[in-house]
Amino acid sequence: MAPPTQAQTQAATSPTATLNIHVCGECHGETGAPKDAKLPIIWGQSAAYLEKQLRDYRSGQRENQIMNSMAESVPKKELSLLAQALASQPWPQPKLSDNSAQSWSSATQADAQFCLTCHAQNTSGESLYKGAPRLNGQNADYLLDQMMAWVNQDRSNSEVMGPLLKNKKKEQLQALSLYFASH
Amino acid sequence: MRPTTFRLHLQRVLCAWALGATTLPLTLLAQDVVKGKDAMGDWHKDAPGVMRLITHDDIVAPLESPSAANRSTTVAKPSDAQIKTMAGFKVDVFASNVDGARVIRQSPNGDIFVSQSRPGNVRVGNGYQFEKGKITVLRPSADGRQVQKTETFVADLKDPYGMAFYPPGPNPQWLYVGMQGQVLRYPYRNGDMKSMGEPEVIVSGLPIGGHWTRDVGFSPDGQTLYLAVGSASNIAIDMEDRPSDLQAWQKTHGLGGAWGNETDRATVLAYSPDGKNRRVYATGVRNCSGLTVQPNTGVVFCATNERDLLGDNTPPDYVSSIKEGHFYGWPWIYHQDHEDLRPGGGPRPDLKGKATAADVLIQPHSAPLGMDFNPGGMFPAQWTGDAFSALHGSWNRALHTGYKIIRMPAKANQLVGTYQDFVMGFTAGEDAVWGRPVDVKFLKDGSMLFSEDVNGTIYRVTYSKP
Repeated sequence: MAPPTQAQTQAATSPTATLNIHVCGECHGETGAPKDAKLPIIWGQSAAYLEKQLRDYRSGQRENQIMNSMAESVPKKELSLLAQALASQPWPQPKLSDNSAQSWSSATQADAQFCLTCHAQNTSGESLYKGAPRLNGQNADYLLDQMMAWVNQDRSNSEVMGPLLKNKKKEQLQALSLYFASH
Repeated sequence: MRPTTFRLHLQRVLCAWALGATTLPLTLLAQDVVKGKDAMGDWHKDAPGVMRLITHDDIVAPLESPSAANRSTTVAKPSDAQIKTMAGFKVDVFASNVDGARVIRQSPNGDIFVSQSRPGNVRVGNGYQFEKGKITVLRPSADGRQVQKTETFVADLKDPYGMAFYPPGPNPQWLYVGMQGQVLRYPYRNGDMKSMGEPEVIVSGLPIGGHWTRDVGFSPDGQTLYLAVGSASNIAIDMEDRPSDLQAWQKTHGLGGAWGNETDRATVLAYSPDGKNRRVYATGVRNCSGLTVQPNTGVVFCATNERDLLGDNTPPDYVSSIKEGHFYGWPWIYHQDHEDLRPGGGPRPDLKGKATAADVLIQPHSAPLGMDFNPGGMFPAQWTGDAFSALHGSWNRALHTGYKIIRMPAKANQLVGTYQDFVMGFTAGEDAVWGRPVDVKFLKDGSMLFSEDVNGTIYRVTYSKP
C-alpha cells in the first residue's frame, strides 16, 4: 500500500474521524473485515467514492435504512475527513482465497477487464476513474447484491452503472462477483 | 411484575373468562401493565401477554444512552427456535419461500395477495434468486391452513408494496398497487390469479429513494385514495434554506410541511380514486409504512417509525390515528413538543406544541411496519376492534428490540394507548434473527396472517379457547 498522504494522516488522527471509524467498525469490521459478507469492505476503499456514498446516503439518493441514518451522524463538513480516514486504513485480506485458483472463462475475464478500465487502482490507490470503487478483494455477496441493485434500479446514484449492467445475465454477474472477490 | 409471572396471571385470567366470566377483569389487567421505563426493554424482556404503556411523560432525553449501531444478522430458523404466543393461540406456517414477503391483503373471494417488494435482496444462504418486485397470489385450502395454488399476479415492478382493492365491497374492479415512483391499478375480478390486462397509471412522479414503502388504502365509501410517502432521510439534516414565505408554503404543503428534497415527504397524501384532486392529508409522519383505514369509522391509521440516532430509548415509534390537516412532528418535533434541532433550514420553534399526539407509543426503534384491526370471529371476543402491528425490529439500539407482533387494545374504536407482546421468538442470541415481522392481516374467518422477510414465511395465527 502507498504511504498515506499528509491529509490522510491528519484525517486518521482527527478525533472525530477516529471515533467514526470505530462506529463504522460495528458493522464493517473493527479491522476492516465485515462480520457479514453482504456488507462491503470500506477500509482502503477510494476516498472519493466513500465520500460520495456518504453524501448520497444522507440525501436518500442511495437507499439503505441503516446507512441513511448513520451517514447523518457525521457533520457534513467532516464527511470528507471520515472518507479519507477510512481510505487510509489497510484493505483487509481477501476472504475468497479458495476461488483464486479457479480458471475464469474468457468471457468473465473480458467482462472484468472492461470493469477495470474505470475500477482499477493506480499506484497511489485511487481508481483510474476518480470515484469508482475498488472491486478487487471486495465481498462477493456484496458485489452481486449491488450489481443486481443497479440492474433492478434499486440503486441509481451513478448514471453509468445501470446501463452498463442491464443486459448482463445473473450468471455473468455472479461470475464477475466471484472473480473480483478472489483478486 | 416479572413477565413470566404476568404470563401466568394472564393465563389464569383467560381461563376464568373461558369458564364463564363474561368480560375480562379489566381492572386487574390495568394493574399489571408495565409502565414508563419498565415498559421499555429489549428482546430478553419480551414475553407473551406482557402489557406495556409508554406515555408522553416517559419520553427520555436525547442521548441519555449513546446511539448504537447494532444491525441484526439474519439466519435460517435454528432447529431449536420456537415461536411464542399467548395461551389458546397457535402459530403455523401458512406459506414458505415467499421471498421478501411484505404487505398482505385478502381479496373478497378469499385469495391472499402478497407483495414481494425485493424478493432477491433478502434471501438467506447461498440460494440467490434475484428478481424485481412482484405480487403473488396464494389461494388457501378449504380449511384455510395451507396454500393450494400459487400464481404470480404481476412481476417486474420497482418495489411494489401497498395494495388495495377498489371499489371497496364484494366486487372490486381494480387492484391498486403503490410502488416507488407511482401508483398503478390493474383490472381485477374475483378469482383472478394473474393480471388480465395492462395497468393504468393513477399517480406518477412519486419520489424515488430514501424511505421507499408506498402504502395505499381507500376510505370505506371508496371516494378517497390514501397514499403514504415516507421521508427521504432520517432527519432532513441537509435540507436547504427554508422557503422565503413559510406561511404560503404551509398553505400548499400543510402545517410543518418540509421542503427541498423532502417536499411532500413524510406525509399521507389523498386523491380521488382516478388519481386526481391530490392534496396533502397529513404531515410530519416520518414513515407511515402501515397505512390502514379503520373499517368501522373510516379513520386513517399509520404505523410509523420515528427518527434515529438519539439513543436507545428515544423517541418512541408510534401507531396512531392520523387526522386530516394535522402535523405529527417530523422533522422538527417529536411527540408534540420535543424539539429536534438537527434538520437543515434552522429551528422551527413556531411548531412546538403544534404536533398532534400519537395514540400508542411503542418502544423506540421497534420499527412497526404493517398494522390491521381485528374484525372478530375467532380471537377472544373482547379483542374485537383491537389493532395489531408487526415490529420489524431494531438496529439503532444496544440490545435488539421489536421482532414481534403486538396487540393494541381499543375501546369504542379508540386505541387506549397500551400494547401487548403477542407473538415473538424470532431472535437467536444478541446478534442474529431468523424472522423480521412485516405485516399483519386478519382474514374473513377471524384468523390472522403475518409475514416476515428474512426467510420469506407467512404464518397463520388461530385461536381456540384454552
